[in-house]
Amino acid sequence: MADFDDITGWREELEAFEATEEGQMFFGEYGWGEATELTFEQEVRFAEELFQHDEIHEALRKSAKFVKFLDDNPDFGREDEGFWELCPVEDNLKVDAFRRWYAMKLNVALGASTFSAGKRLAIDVVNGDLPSLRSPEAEQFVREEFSWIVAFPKET
Amino acid sequence: MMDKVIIIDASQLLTIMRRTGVDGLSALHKRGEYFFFSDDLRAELIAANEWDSKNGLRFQAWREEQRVNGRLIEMKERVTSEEYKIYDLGKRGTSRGGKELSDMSIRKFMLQNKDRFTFEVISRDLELLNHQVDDPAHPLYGLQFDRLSTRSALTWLATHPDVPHNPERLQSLLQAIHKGKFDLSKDRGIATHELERESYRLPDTYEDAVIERARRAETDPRRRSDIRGFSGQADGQLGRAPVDPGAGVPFSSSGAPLDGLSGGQLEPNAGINGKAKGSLTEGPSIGRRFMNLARNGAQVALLGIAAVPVFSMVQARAAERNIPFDQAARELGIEFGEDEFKDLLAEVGADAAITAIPVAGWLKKAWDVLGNVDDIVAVTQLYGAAYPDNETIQQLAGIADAVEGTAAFETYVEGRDALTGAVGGAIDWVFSTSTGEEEQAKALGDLRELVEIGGDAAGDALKAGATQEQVADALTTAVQARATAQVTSGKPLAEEEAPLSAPVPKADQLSPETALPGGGTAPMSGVPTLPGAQQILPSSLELGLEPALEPGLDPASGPETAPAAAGQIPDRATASGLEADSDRFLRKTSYRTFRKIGRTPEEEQQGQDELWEEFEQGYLEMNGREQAAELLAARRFSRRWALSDYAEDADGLMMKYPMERVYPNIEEIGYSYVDEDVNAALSHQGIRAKKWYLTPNDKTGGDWEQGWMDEDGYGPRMTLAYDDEAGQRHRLSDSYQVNVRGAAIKLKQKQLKAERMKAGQTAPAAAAGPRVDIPKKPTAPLQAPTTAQAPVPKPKPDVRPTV
Repeated sequence: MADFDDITGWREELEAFEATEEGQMFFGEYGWGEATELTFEQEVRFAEELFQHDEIHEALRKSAKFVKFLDDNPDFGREDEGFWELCPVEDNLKVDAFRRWYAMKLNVALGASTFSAGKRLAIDVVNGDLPSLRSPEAEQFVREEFSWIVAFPKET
Repeated sequence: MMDKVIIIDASQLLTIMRRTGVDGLSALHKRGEYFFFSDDLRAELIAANEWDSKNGLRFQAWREEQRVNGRLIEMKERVTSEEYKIYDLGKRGTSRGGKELSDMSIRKFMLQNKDRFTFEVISRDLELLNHQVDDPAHPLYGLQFDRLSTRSALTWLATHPDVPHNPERLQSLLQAIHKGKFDLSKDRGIATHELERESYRLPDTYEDAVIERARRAETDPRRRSDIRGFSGQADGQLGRAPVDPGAGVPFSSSGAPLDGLSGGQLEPNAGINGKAKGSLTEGPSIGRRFMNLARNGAQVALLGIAAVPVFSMVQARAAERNIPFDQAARELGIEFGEDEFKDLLAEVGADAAITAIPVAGWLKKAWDVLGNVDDIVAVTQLYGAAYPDNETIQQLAGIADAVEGTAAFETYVEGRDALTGAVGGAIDWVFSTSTGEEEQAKALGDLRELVEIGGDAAGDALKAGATQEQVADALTTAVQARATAQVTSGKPLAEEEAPLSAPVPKADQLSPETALPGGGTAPMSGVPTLPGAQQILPSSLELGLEPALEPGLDPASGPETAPAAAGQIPDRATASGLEADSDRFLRKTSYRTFRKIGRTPEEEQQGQDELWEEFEQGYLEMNGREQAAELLAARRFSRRWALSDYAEDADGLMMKYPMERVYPNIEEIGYSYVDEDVNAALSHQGIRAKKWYLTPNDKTGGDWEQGWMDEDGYGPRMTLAYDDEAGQRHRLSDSYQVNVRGAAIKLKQKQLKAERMKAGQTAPAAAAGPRVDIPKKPTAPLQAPTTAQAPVPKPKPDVRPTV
């Protein structure tokens, strides 16, 4: 099990891995096509990790704020002035890079939407739209919006 | 012919999603066979935060659905820095662009696959669409692809029949397009790209758009054939589940969009700017015709249509003599000034912005108006005088003369205006199916001849109680048969048959009011008519056009033994290996004839209530335009209600959620996958069924409302019953589900196999081409092939949005 207590150097590690042949296979041929269906628990754990580290948490916070803005203003888009001024591009990319690194550390093949549910959960918690990551509301939300990619294994 | 890949610029994906929803994406997707997606595209959506927005989540689910169904082509590898020199055309890093990675990935994909696919690129990026490569030695030089600007795409989608809009969204969209929000370069005054293959008319108002949308649905050949053949299939393509209806099943290219009025492709130099030839010499006569219409109180809609050539004529006269418009009008005896004309033209959407609709399209519109027959005839004759060299218009004018001069029509109990509707319906069909002006004129000539020659017989039929739709259908069938007969025999039709001279059916066979057993009133009487749901005439009224009997058919069984079109009637009598018996050939064609709504009185009431609710809603949406509201109501209603070939005791019964509504009609194979699925299940159970049935039950509708299929790819639950060899009926399950995803996968595999075989026979497969993923639903996380390696310095990932 990967240790996420200390993530120092995560970005460099990711970039180094991406530069290798294995990394290109991991994020390329093996990571696409077959979307990885994770469990709700796996998605929540990823979301929790986004809150654990100040650097990532801060990026998440800014990213979440703009997502909220987009959701609240459905007519606002790239064709509108000010979009890129408001959009926290670097923060968005940082959270996504962390997703790639996290998947790499856990050897989870990365489809286009892998960990999308976890990330959206984190966004909604930051914005106050969900009480917590493990709340019944959160589970309900994932059931409604991500059932096509998130599994809910039956309890034994 | 190569498959087409639809490529949407990353920057426009969510714009299109926001404005038209996943339905818009699906509609665009259907312009080709595959949808392109790349990791660079995804990275751009991530950078813009669009990926995680609500619309982004919908896009993610939609993308996955396309992937599972084998309709997504993904480029997994990102464009590397070494490749920039090939795929960057100079915009990268400039003030106009960002990192351009998504655009470069599009160029890379097209270059690598130019021998396998054709492409349509949808973008608002002038540089991407220009594709300015002047060096013949450059790999991208001469790369061919179709272009569609975002503005054109949204204009096309604004009235697309598969894209539902609420009034607010549509009004907002129209407003934004009109304001130039999606222009390629507003500053430079470039709205759309000069190399686009088609141009699309932008409706002025919400109401125009809804009407245009309804007309597109009516004239779309994909629907039209269904509408004519089977009412239950009328909206097969329109039937929608809450989760993206168009997606999830394979489909073929929709082809070039059609002009909503004529059903033909838009023509340059037509419409209001098309000069009315001969108008200068016929001017006074045309002016009088126009004023007669106005004085006789013709409907504004008809007057507006009539104004199209008259306005053109007056303009031409004013220009020729260098006099004011109003003076030229007065010289022609017209008491309307330029402003009044413009108001009239605006009433019918023919203002100065409309330049591309063929004049014949305007005239055809007159026949769509439910108005006084004399006025419609007068408008047509006016057009005939104004465009003496236009064969299509001349034929329409001839039809008008024939209608006017046929005495039998005078006695039609439904009224002569209804007759106009019937002829208009046949004209509508001609416009929607003819591929060129010559063919159009020819078909109209046939129709004109039918009206002239067969007037008496048609009159008898009308007296016998045939409905407007029935007459239209009879005329249409006759025209169609004439075309077919002439193609197959090469003989003039007059020698082949005597149109409208066949025995006339008895009134009680035709009138919906007496169609029910026991002489009861048909439940649909008094409510808006469903397109295509009307009774289909017995073959005896099909103008002597019985198809040739196949071997084994009993001629004595009469016209009702005519077999249905291939693929429409499933061969369910052969389940489990039983040989087909003669019943198969004795199936009544009236099977598809609407006789009753609902299986119980409660369901009948429910059907009527739902139809009225749809009508009321449509009435409000259409600002009280009853005709348009009826059309909308019928279309919406038929998303859930239809006849069925599969249900028990379904002869002529319109029911809610029949199999044909809740299971997708998969292109190429139709519903044969349902037959195969059930036959296999019965065989597996060791059941020898003479015939089987899939009937909706109380679970079916609820399942369908959640989507075409469940998480495992199975469709809504239905009741499976069968008749054993002794004819005894058995109910096998109330929760039978057909494997839809499995059928799609099987089809895809078959297509891929054929593709590979073809590629192997003709040319080596493109080595660098994309892999088309075989749909597969994974169940567990994949493991990476190796673990992470020791860090090695590498440049930072180059992911930036296009700005």
